Amino acid sequence: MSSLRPDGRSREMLRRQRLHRSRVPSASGSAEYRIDGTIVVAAVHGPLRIAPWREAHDRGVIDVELSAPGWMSRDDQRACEGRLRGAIERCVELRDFPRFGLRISARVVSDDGNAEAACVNAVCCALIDANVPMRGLICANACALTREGSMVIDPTKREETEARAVVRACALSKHREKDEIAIVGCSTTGALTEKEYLDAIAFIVDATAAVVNIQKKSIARYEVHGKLHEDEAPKKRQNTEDAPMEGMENRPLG
Amino acid sequence: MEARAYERLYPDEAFEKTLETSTRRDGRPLGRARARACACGTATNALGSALARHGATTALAGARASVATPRAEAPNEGFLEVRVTFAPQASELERPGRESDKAEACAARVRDALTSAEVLGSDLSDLCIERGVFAWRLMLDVVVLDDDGAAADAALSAAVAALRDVVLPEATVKRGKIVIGDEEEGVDGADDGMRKGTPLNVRTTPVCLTTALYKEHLLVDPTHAEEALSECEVSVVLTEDGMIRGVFKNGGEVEATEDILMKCIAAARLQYAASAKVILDASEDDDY
Repeated sequence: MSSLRPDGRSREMLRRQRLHRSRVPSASGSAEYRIDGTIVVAAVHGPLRIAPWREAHDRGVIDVELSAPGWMSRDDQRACEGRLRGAIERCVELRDFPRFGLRISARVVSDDGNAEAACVNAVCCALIDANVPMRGLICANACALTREGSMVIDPTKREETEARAVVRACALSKHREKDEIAIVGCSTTGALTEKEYLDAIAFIVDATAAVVNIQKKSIARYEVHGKLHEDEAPKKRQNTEDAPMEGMENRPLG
Repeated sequence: MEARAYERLYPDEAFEKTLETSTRRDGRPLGRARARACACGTATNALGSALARHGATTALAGARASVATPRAEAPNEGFLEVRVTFAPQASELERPGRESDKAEACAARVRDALTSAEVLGSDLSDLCIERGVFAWRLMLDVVVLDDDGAAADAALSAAVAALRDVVLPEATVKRGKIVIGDEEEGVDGADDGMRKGTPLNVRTTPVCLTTALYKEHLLVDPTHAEEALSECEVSVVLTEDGMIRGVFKNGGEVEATEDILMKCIAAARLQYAASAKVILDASEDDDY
């Protein structure tokens, strides 16, 4: 018998999520993602030319900027930027635009809990809006462990501050064989046992299905034809440019 | 071709070859962490300091304190501010100015680990001098002097050892003003090298272990070269009660399955006893 949370949800219920694409007209792509009181606006500029000393010869370069004035301390913002960058590196096909750069900026307009997940989701939708080539959809969520020991998903700000521990993770949505659980990035605060941590991760990965539906619907509404190929298993990129020269493979060392 | 040249030109292939024999370049098996060493009291002017070495990765932590007014909503709590920076000579990625992403990630891990582990108790009431009026603001600066992989581990060890080494000077409130230390010196005035004051009560010893994911291999406590080649790292912070105080994975090209996460946590558990002993031994050496 699960008790209801203060806002009437059960522990597995997510809050109402709303997505508004093309919020920033001048950017290549943008999105505003709302989870009830948490609002994040993300904008993507690019691929665009960057300074020559920053170019990478085989892949694109990503610049992430997060601003959450008043909602997060400066250090937290930087840490969040790092995690955002990791999530983006996983889902964007960087090798499709070598020597170019992608500028992604996210702004937390208001934070009522789960802001980092909203940032990741907003950025993913902004990338879709900008037609950046991607390997799949990335979605994030957070799971809080209350003092009574129960796990609740999508915590509000109050639940986050009162919780014993909070696990934030993001996962790539793709065709999963055998219900495997795989995350792209994660971070935790507070104390938890190993079992609680693994349960929380599984919980979050299950919840990504709901978020992915919203992202897919937004694509369907805007695109006339053409399906995002996230249902195929991701192909392993052949690193042809890193293979040794002919004749080197069979030589012994030294 | 010469082995070292091959390593520089084709690092991936060279690394794969060494991994085939299940040992790494420095001779360690995949699952073994480097030897850890720690020394306290290295910076004499700081209230507490420690130097931690994990293989070649070195981090120096120093703590200083000043008196501050506690916040209105927490009148009997002090402040603990942790700052982690990388010295310019630490690695080739560092440039003066904005911190590189790696340094930010490391700083975030150490800060989160110290907060989650509640090293000074669940609230900072140990740092209170007089409720609502005076409290200690403890500023802990960690500098990573040399980054040879797994800098967060060394930074956290140094930070915890420095906190254990801190001796807060005696502070009394006389006629509404704060007086640090003794105004009247002892009659003989001899400085016998012992610090007067109350040592900080550090309740737990969090230890961090970083594991790198390289293709399907898990490398415990990677060196700088291994970190550069591996796709991502997972850092696990544990305390002596077996609770996880942090699992940090910063994305990257590769996902971590549940299996991998469990292995990383198990590796951290195995390593915990040895690492905690090093930190505790280092801070036991000083006599008060």
